[in-house]
Amino acid sequence: LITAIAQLGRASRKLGEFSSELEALVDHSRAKHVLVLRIRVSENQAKYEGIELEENKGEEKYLYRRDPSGKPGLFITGRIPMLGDVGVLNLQRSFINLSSRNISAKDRNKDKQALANFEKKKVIGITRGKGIRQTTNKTLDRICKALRNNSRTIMKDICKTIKSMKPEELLLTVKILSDSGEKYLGEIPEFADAFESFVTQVKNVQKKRIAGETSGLKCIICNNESVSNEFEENPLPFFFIDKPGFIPEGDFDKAYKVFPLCSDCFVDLRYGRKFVEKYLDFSISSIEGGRAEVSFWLIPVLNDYDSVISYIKLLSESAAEGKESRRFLYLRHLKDMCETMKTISAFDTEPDALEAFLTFTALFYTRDRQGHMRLISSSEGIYPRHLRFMLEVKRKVDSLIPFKKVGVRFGFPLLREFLMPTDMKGRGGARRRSEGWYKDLASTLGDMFVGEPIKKSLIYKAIASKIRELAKEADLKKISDISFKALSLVEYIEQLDSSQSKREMLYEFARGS
Amino acid sequence: MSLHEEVDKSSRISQIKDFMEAHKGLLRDDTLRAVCATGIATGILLEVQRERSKRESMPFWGRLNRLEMDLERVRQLFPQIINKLHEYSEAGYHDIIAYLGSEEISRLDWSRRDLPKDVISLAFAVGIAQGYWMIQASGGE
Repeated sequence: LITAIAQLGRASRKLGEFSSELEALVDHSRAKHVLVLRIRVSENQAKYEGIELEENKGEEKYLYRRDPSGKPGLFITGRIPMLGDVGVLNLQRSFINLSSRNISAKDRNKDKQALANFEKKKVIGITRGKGIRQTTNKTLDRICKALRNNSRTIMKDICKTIKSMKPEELLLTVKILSDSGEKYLGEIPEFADAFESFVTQVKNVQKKRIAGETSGLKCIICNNESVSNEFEENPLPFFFIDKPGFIPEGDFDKAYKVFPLCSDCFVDLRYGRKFVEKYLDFSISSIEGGRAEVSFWLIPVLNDYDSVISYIKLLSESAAEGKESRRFLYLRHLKDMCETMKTISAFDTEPDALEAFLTFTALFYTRDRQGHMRLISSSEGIYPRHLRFMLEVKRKVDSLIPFKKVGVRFGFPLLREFLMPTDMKGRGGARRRSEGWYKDLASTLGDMFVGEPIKKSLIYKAIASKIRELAKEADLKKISDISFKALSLVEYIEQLDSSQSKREMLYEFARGS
Repeated sequence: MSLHEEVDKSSRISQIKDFMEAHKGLLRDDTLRAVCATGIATGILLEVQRERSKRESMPFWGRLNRLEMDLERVRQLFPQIINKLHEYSEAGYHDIIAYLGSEEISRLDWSRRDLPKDVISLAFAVGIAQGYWMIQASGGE
């Protein structure tokens, strides 16, 4: 799996899939807008000159990267979440409350505390990222000082700017104003270089120890001498190299040696990850298209490097052509099937020669409250032909009566709807979010993708429980809606399973004869 | 009875037949078809009760055990449904009820007690949905 991701990365590097190395090294946020702090920099000083709200022009411009230590960002640019203690919504509420006269002293203190907390964590916090602490750039130092000295003014400006906007996730960054014009952090070569070298460097504190301990270590991807097994940043979002991981013999001295990498393969992995996130990241949304708790990467496994290059070329071309392209339609339809309840109208062109060697591995994951990627499970050996077959079954099920007339279509959000426990409430609800069903959803999807028998009793139980829950209301319309949705899901599962069994029988028969 | 009404009624029966045939994934044997057919009859009765009470109540709902069904419960429902419809002098669904009773519900295999309750409950709920939807689509009698 790791090798497959690295191969994708190497090939996309070679083909120039990303405009710059920065694009592969930054992290993507969900922010549509950015709060830009304007800092005028002269020879000896930096001066804060106000704030602007702009559209997000790409994280590589702002050098945004998550800081796993809990700081807003690694390199000046930080993220402001929509919810939470230091979120946009809370900041708006506190600011509006403080502007009002009818507020008790206790509430006033509470709101003041919230603003102070935001100032410390998000405004001053962006000057304390790990990446900044390790650079010795004087300009950067002056900028950080200006931000810290003007933190109160910046806070006021932020509050005024976001006061009337609809709450959403934001980025907070800096724009440098000088005689040569206005530039974002990523547009200044010395900052971009400092960011790049920080992200790809080996941990300083470990260097001495590693020199002695890692001699003879081989990179797990290319088998060349591994520089280190501990980079400053994680090569993959679900792998944490600051935590020990034991190989079977459990020797503590080898706790950090389970994932040795060379520098080149480290960058390949970053590129590979970006490629997968761009084209092959799927999320199972709710029926209404809301938040997705379970997502998966569909990683193409092609052992031959030339085939990987051809695959990437074809995939990028088909993405560039947009809806007109008929190639890789099965991937586009699969995305629709995960996120929406749309019908399928067109199908792919004939499979090409490349497909004979292509399989996928699905890596199911969820994001925890801090936004970290947590793995659920993985399923190997998914064939493109089987994915097409799954779409064909969907089309067949959607055509059954009375689904068209009652407006019910099959999609994976249906599976989510039934597997999610009925006693779970939304964000406003009091109950805590239970996560046990993630595993059920992932394993059911995995079985479907691979073509293994689906655990039907689990699905039937979930459906019956959902219907019973609704039966309390004695509303015929609601019962009717949920029953037809359940029927669509059951028909899909039953038809997929029976067709699979028939195909297996035919295969066995053909082998026998 | 006019020719138009005759055609309408036969089309409703064929609608039920088509529905049963289309969903062989769930309604894979005679027993599950019988359960679903009982659900359809129940859906019709519930809608009739709702119409009679100006959409306020469905007294028969209380006998459905919150849709948690087993074969014994399902078996007891059909005679009760016929009685209720007779009590209301509701002749508009006579043909459908007669078809469901003679062609589907009579085939309930009592030996299939091994069928999971969840599957029986689902087949029954799907039947109710189909019964309800059929009446809605035809605009009631």
